[in-house]
Amino acid sequence: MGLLSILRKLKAREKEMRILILGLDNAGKTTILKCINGEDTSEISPTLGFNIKTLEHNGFKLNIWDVGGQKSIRSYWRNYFEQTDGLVWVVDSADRPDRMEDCRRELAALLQEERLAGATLLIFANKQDLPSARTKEQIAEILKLADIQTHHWHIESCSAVTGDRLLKGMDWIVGDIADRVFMLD
Amino acid sequence: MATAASRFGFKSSTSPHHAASAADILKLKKPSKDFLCPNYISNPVQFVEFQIRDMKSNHVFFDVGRPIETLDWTQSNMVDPENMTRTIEYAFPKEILSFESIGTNLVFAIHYFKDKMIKSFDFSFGFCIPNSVNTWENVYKVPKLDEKTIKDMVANPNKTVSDSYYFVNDKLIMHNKAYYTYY
Repeated sequence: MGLLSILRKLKAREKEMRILILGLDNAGKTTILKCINGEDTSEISPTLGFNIKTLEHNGFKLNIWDVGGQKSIRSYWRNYFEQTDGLVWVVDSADRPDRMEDCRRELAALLQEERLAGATLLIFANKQDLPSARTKEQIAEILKLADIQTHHWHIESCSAVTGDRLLKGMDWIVGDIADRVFMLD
Repeated sequence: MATAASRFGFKSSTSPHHAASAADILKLKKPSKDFLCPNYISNPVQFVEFQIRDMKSNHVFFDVGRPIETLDWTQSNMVDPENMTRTIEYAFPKEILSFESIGTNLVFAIHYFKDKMIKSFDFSFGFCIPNSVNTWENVYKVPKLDEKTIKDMVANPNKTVSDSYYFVNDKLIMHNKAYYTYY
């Protein structure tokens, strides 16, 4: 009976993925979400809660969660960790050095979370359209990505304004999750 | 914990005598004839905006805002005054019935919501931050309708009905109805 209910649960989750987009405030999380979804991105205000998009991508049903990044909201992030298959960490590549340190610390804390232990990690080095933007190699070094042993990870430079390389990043994370989770089908 | 369910159908059926839980609602195969809960004045969940768009052209063909307290519901001549505030009539060009996929975007506000969840029959909202404003857009494939059905739906205004149910702690707290006209 126990096994049967587990099987049913797996069946219900088949081909469905939960992707969580996090990052500091003003990193561009909502702009990325809207851009992926083909929406107008000219007027985006700070997210004081969450935005969810349920959509189909490469035959998978994606539930993409964008949760606000303001300091006062970050303590609520943990409420959204459960059953997350993929974590998208968005970085403002042109942010101040002290904020880059915040960014490194917050990501490091997330990677310690037990409920995110099974999640694939995609880092978007966003705002590459800005002249002062750091390269993805510089971002990788600041965030110490090379030290990550616990998660599949990948960094992609992108611009949520132009849409450049966003889909490439999303294809990677969906593909990695599919390989991990749905291989047994 | 809270749950939301939506039902969309072509003809009305009679409602069961008591349908308080989400499980009961999900058993319904047809739109309900009556409202299945009282029209509560104060509600922990407030819907502030509802938008529908065609994913192919990105054309928004329905957008209703709720800037202050009440939604700008269309006055209905088929609904009694008590239920006016929770009934809406849509009029859409018939092309919508043959769109490949549409997006419905719901903006809702949560007040003093601690640890309460909203869930749809195939989707879980999870925790809502107190005093937050949240959105959920569901992009879905429109079911393939044959010519005859589309013709039938166009010829019968307000016979296409949808019910939306919202639960807190598995208790029905909100039930909205919508009637559709295609032209």
